[in-house]
Amino acid sequence: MTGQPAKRGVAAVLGAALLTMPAAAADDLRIAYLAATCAGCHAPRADAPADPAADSPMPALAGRPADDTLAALKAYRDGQRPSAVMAAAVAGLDDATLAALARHLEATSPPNRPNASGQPGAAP
Amino acid sequence: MERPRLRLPERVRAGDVVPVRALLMHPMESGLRLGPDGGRVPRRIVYRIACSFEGEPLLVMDLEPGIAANPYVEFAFLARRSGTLTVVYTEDGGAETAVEAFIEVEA
Amino acid sequence: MTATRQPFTATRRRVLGLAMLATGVMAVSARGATPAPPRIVVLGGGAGGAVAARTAKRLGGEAVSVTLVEAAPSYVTCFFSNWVIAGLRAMEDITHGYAGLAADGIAVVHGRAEAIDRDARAIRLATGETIPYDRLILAPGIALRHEAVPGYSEAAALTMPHAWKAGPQTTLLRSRLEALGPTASIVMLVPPNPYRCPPGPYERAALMAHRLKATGRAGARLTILDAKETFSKQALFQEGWERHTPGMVQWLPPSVHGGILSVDPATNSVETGLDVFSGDLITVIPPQQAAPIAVDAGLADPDGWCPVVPAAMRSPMDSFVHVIGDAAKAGEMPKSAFAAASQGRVAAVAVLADLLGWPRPEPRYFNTCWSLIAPDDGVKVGALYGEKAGGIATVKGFVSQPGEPAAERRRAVDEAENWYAAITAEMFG
Ligand SMILES: Cc1cc2nc3c(=O)[nH]c(=O)nc-3n(C[C@H](O)[C@H](O)[C@H](O)COP(=O)(O)OP(=O)(O)OC[C@H]3O[C@@H](n4cnc5c(N)ncnc54)[C@H](O)[C@@H]3O)c2cc1C
Repeated sequence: MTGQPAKRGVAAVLGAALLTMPAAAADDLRIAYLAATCAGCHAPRADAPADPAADSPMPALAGRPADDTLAALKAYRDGQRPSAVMAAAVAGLDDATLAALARHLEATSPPNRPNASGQPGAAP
Repeated sequence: MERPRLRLPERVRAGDVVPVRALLMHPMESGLRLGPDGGRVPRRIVYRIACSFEGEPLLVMDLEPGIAANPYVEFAFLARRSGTLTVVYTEDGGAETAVEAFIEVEA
Repeated sequence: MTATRQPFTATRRRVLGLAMLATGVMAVSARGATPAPPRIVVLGGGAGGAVAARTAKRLGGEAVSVTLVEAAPSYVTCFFSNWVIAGLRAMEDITHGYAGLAADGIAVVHGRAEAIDRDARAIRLATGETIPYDRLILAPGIALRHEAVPGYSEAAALTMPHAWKAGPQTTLLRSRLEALGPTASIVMLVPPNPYRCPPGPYERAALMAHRLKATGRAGARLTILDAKETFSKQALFQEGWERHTPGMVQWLPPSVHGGILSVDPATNSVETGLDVFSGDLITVIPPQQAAPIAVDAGLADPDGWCPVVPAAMRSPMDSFVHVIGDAAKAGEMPKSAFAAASQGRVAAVAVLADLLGWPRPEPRYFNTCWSLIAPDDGVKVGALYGEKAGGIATVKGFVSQPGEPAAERRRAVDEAENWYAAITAEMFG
C-alpha cells in the first residue's frame, strides 16, 4: 500500500473522513456512489477541449458550478430537456438528492491522468 | 442471383410425405425504402417461386414486396416415384435461378 | 469490524484531514478489533473488477485494503475491438496497463488464481501463494465453450477465429478479413443467449461489411447463422446493413438454416440442418458460461452462470463473495462492459458499507450499449435497472429508432467514443 492521501487529493480524504462518521455519512456514501455512476460516461476525454461548455455529448461534470448541474439534472428528469438516456439516468431521484449530487460534483477535481503507456485511452 | 439452397431427404418410401425446404438469399428490395440520397431504392424482389417434379408443376408461389429478405419456403408433397424436384426463382426483370435435387422413392 | 457511528454533516469542502483518519483507526484498534484494515480482494481486472477495485479504494481510502488479482499484465478491451477489426482503431488504442491502480494504493497482483478456498476465505494463485480476503469481489468474465459446437476447439479457433476475447484473436480476425478477395464469402456463427455483448456480433457484421466495401470488395458476402430467432436492435441492424452495404449481410435464424450441426476447420464449412455453408472465412462465436474459477468454486448454477442477490451483487451461495460482470446472472442486464462497471460500483459500495458499518446505498444499475452500423452511424440501447420481485429488472429503458436523422446517429458515435474514454479512465485512471 503506497497510497498517499495528500497526493491523491480530495477523493482520498473523503474516504478517510467517511471512516469515522456514518449517520449523515450514510448520505455521503450514497451521494459519492451516485457521483461515481455519473463517471461511467462523464469523464473528460483526453482529446476534448478543457472547456466544459464545449459541445460534447457527455461533458465533464467535475468542477462544474452546482447550480448549472442541478438545473440540467432537473430538466432531464422532468422532461424539459429531451434525452432518453439522461431521463433514465436521473429517474426517481428527488430534488434534495440531485442538489447534493450537484454540490458533490462541483467539489470534485477532474481526474486527468494518462494511462500506463502514457497514452490517452481512446486517442483516435 | 445467388445459388438457392434446397434440402429434401435423399431416399423415402413410396407414399411418404416428403418435406422440402428451399432458401434463396435475396434482398427482396420492396421499392418503398429510401436510399442514402433520399430517393427510393428501386424495387427488386423475387416475385415467383415455382416448384416442379419431373417437369410437372407442384406449387407456384407469387410473392409480394412485403416479403422479407432471404425468402425461405417449406412444403411437403406425397412421393410416388423417384425423380427430380426443381425450384425456379424469378425476380423483377425476368432473371431466373434454379436448383434441383433427385429423390429416390423405394417401392 | 464496525466504525464509530456519529452524526456527520461535513462536506468534502470542510476537509477533516488525516487527524480524523488516525483517530478512526485507533478507535477501532482500541476496541480490540483487527488493527489492520479489512481486506477487499478483487479477482479479475476487467471492466467489472477494475471499476470495483478503484471505487472501493477511492471511497474507502485507508479504511480498507484493496488487492486486485489479474492474470494478464495488460488488458485489451473487447469493447471497441470491432472497431479494430474494421481498421477504425489500432490494437494499442484498446490496450491498457494497470499502473494507475497501483498509484491509487491498490495492491495489484499479476498472477492466475487457481482456486478460491471459501472456507479459509483465501485465493490460491498458480504460484502457490495465497491471498486472504474479508470480502471477495469476483469478476473473472467468461469461458468460451468451444466444445459446444461440434468440430470446434481452441485449435480450430486458429482457423475459424472467434475474436470474442480481445487480443491475438482480434488481430487474427482482422488480418483474415484484410486478406479476403473481392467476392469472398464469410460465415459467422452466433451463439444462443446469454452471451457477452448481445449486439456485438451484428455490429461486427456491419463493420466487416463496411471494411470490405470501403476497400473495393462490395461483392463479398457475409452470412450470419444465428442460434436465435431474434436479436438485439434487430430492426436497426437489418435496416442499417441494407442501407450501408446492400446485399452484403444475410442473417438466417435457426428456423431457416435448420440448426448448426457441426463445423469443419479442414474444409472451412459449417453443416446445418438445411445445407452445408462453406466460406473463405468462418468465424465462430461459441456459447459461453462463467469463467472456470467461479464455476469450480461452486458459485455457479447448473446453467454455468453465477446467481446474485440483486441488492448488492452478492452470491446467494457465499455471503463473503460478490460476483459481478459477465460471470453473473444479473437479471435483465446484458453482459456488457457498461453493465459490469455499474455492478462493480454497486458491489464496491456494498462491501464498504458492510465492512465499515455504513448503511448501504440503494443500487442504481445502468447500462448503455452503443453499436456502430457504419463509422458515422451509431445506435444505442440501454436502461436504468432496479430490484424487482427478487431480480434485476428494467425501470426505464431507451433505444434508437430506425430512420433517425443522420446527425443523431453521428452523435451516438461521439457518445460511444466519449463512453470509451470514460470507462477506460474509470478502470485504469
Ligand atoms: C466484440 C465485442 C464487443 C464488445 N463491445 C462492447 C461495447 O461496445 N460496450 C460494452 O459495454 N461492452 C462491450 N462488450 C462486452 C464487454 O467486453 C464485456 O461485457 C466486459 O468485458 C465484461 O467485463 P468483466 O469484468 O465481467 O470481464 P472481463 O472484462 O473479461 O475481465 C475478466 C478479467 O478476469 C481475468 N481473469 C479471469 N480468470 C482469472 C483467474 N483465474 N485469475 C486471474 N485473473 C483472471 C481475465 O484475465 C480478465 O482480465 C463487447 C464484447 C465483445 C466480445
